[in-house]
Amino acid sequence: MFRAASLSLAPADFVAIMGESGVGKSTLLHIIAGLERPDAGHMTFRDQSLDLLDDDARTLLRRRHMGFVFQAFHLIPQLTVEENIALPWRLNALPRHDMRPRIGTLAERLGISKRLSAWPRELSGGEMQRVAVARAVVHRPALILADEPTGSLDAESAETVLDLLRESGEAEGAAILLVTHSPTAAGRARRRLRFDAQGFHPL
Amino acid sequence: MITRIPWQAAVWRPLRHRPGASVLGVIGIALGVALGLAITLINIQAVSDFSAGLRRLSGQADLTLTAPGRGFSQQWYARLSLAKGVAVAAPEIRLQAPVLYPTGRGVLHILGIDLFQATRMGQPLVPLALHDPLALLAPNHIVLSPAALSHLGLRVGDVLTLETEGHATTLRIIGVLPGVRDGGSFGVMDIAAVQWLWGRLGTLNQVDLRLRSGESAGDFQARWRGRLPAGAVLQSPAQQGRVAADASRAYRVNLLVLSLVALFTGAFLVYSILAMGVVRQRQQLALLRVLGLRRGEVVLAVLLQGAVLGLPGALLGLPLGVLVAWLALAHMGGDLGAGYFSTAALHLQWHPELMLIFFGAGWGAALMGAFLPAWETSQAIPALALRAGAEEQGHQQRQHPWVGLLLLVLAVAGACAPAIHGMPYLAYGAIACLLFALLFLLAPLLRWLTRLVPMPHAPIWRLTLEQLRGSPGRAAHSLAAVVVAFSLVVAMAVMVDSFRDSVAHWLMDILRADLYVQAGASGDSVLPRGAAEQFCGLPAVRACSPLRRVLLNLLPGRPPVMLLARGMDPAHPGRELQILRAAPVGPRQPPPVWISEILAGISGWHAGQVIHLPLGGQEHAATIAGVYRDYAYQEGSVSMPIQQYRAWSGDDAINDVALWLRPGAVIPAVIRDLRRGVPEGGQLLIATPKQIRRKSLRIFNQSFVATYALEAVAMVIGLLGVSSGFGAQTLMRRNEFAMLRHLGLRRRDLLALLFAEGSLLSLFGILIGGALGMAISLILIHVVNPQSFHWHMGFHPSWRLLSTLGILLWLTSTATMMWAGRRTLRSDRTVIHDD
Repeated sequence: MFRAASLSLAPADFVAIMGESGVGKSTLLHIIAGLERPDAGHMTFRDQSLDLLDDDARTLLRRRHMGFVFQAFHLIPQLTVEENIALPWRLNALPRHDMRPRIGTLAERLGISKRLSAWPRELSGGEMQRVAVARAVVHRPALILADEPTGSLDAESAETVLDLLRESGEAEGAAILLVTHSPTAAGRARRRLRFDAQGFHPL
Repeated sequence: MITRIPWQAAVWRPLRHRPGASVLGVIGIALGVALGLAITLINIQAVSDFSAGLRRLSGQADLTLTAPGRGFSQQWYARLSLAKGVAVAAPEIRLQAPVLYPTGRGVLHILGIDLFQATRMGQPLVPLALHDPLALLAPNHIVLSPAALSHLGLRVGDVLTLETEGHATTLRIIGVLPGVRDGGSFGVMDIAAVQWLWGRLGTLNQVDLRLRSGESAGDFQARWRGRLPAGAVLQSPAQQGRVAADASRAYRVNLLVLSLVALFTGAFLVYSILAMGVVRQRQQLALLRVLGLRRGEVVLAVLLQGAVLGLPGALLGLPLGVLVAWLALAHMGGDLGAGYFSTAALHLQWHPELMLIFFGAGWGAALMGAFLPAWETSQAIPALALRAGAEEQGHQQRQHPWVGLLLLVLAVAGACAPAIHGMPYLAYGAIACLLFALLFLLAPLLRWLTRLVPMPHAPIWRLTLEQLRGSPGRAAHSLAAVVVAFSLVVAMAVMVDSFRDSVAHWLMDILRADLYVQAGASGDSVLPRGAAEQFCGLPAVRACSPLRRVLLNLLPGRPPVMLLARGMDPAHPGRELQILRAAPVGPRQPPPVWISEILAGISGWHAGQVIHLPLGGQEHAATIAGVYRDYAYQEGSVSMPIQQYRAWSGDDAINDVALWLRPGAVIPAVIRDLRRGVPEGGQLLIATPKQIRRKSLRIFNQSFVATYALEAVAMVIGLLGVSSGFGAQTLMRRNEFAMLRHLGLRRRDLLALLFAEGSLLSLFGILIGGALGMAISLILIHVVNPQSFHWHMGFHPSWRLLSTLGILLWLTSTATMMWAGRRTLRSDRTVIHDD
């Protein structure tokens, strides 16, 4: 699909990747997340080579240090907004007494504090993506992977979500890797790269 | 370690989100546990009651010498009383007597005891509670058990008339037996009175022995081995109990396996529900994987869903099972009408260990049902599962036809394997393999079947067929439970029909006379002396054949075998018996006898072999001239010419006579003449072959009531699976239906689509289930049955019954699918949602 792609991310970095459909942007995110293995090459995360880890170890690494935002939100419909946001916190068995204040702060910052007890089906698209952003950052990951997070949103909601994503990244010191087709969305990033079969090219 | 959120997100909420399906899963497991537990409780109760009955009758005996039928000479009592090591010996005689008054009460078991010796032995049946215990010594006095009093509708002080050797004898009831809380319906009399009244002077059926302290029962048995009367066995009460338990073991194990059918179908229901559920959860589970849930944790989460369904199901099933057992015991008896145990009414006892086992079995069945969906879900690639259309991928994923084919090969191997310890365990394994193979082959089979159907022109039917061809995996999930249930119903129906047909043919073949005269309702009843000759001499009678039935102890560790001495021509045994295998008997060989295929199976004897029959106090050599079919005696039978029997035994009594009438004879008039010919002729049981066949088949049908009940429950569980599966499927396809509405399909078109899918799927399910059922029935008929019971039957499925069952299932299944679909479409959702 692609070769010679080389990329390094520093803490609090915000990189946008653009490219044509089918070039492998999502696959790249999956490889970075440890969900798929590359045919060749290496992926190092926090001084650990992902190639040497088995599925369980990669899963634990992902659980602890990564956050995800998807175009289709992927909220769990049977869980309330608060429970959806709390998922990574609980999966990581972080201290319970800190969880509610943390979710409260995030919800306040993202403007969904009044929707915490709502069900996903009761939310608008923009609200659902804010919840997804909150879920991605709640456990203070080192890396946030965002795959077309604004693809399903109107322009105004998209602006808000991108602002929130960047603010959250900066506030938590997390690196953000944003895959998008939208030049506007890419414009929010500190670095912008075009991705094709030969690898990354600065924009 | 699974954390709280995955429990909510991956286990509890998904189940709560589908309350209908979850409740059906719970019900399926509860019904399975209830039936399995009920049947096991009834079995245990019947056998333990039998053992308790033996202990009651044998008192404190260390050893018991027993012989059935005419028993052995009373001299053996004297000999054993004086034997070294014996502290106390108590003689007994047992028989059955037809009850003449009150009328219509069948037969009463009579036990004749020596009051003084029985007291020394400590028999709890000794009626010491009587005002005057010695009153029992009077020949016209009897003491009845509470069950007998209740059955006869009499009270202490009333009189009772019994048939004794063709005469009526009136006895006074002088008391109620102590130590008989439940069960046995019988009376106790003085041994001398019984011997006198029933012409059994000088004979006994049993001698109980209590040994001196320090004398070992084993040593005593060894010392007397080979010195006992012919046909008698010396056993401890525990050994007697084991013989009884072994004799009914095959029956009980088969019934238990049958009872597990419902639980098995319940497991398939859980499979169906969870398989459908995890397909719906596919994206959520994939998301959890992306967020950091490990593969093993996903498996655990789905297994926990099974456990959550199984726990309340198994718990509910326990009290339900106890209730069913209680009702069955109260109304059908310990053998559910099959005739293995003679106790009249049994009382349920508390078996906590059994409860625990069935609780575990129910829970285990639910986990078993959850395992495959769990394993397959864990194999999904999260990145792919998150994409749109993931549900359809989930349906398509679980197709491993090679596993199904491997299971089919194992099934063939299991069906060809021999029995283990006399039980067809590997054949049962073969049936399980066939059923599990279905899980892996159902989708490919559905695809193949849909391709056989020509593509119709009607758009709805065309769309339906295209859907089924494109997504057989989805249909397979809905159908799994009902296909399994139907296959088991077909298998049972074919087996029972084949058995019934074989019995009917056999009865037709052996009942060749015009009339059959039996001395009385009791198997022990004999005709008055000279009565048989008198019957044969009637002007309307062209020919006659007497029959003498005697129980013999032929095989160590087995219950007695029935010896049938009949008026038969040794040169033409086929006139009386349905001969299966024969061997010529030379003039220098011992006289010929014929054995039933059951006895051949149990003993391993074969045609041409010489055996020894204990008759007249001696062992007589006889050659097995052939093996015949006999469905009447479950422990086997031996047939021989009555002249030879009389020569060896000295017993010229006759139980039955078969009569061939002259042309033009009027049967009612002949019956009147027969009854007039002997005293108490009204007690004779006289029947035409047609009446005997009808009665036999009625008893046959009754004995399969439990089977029919189990089949019905399995079908209900299967239909629950259809309902939940199809309902879930419709729910998952709401976007598809909304899209079809956008394309211009009316609501009623969608309902027509549901009907088309439901009816086609049901039809395919019936075809596949029917074929699988036939395969299972072949294993049951040709492997399980001969290995368990040692008799064979033909393969005679009733196509009419099977067609009726198929149509019934087609209607109920289609209706269930329509109902589930309509319910889901009630919201009339016409908006497509991408999320």
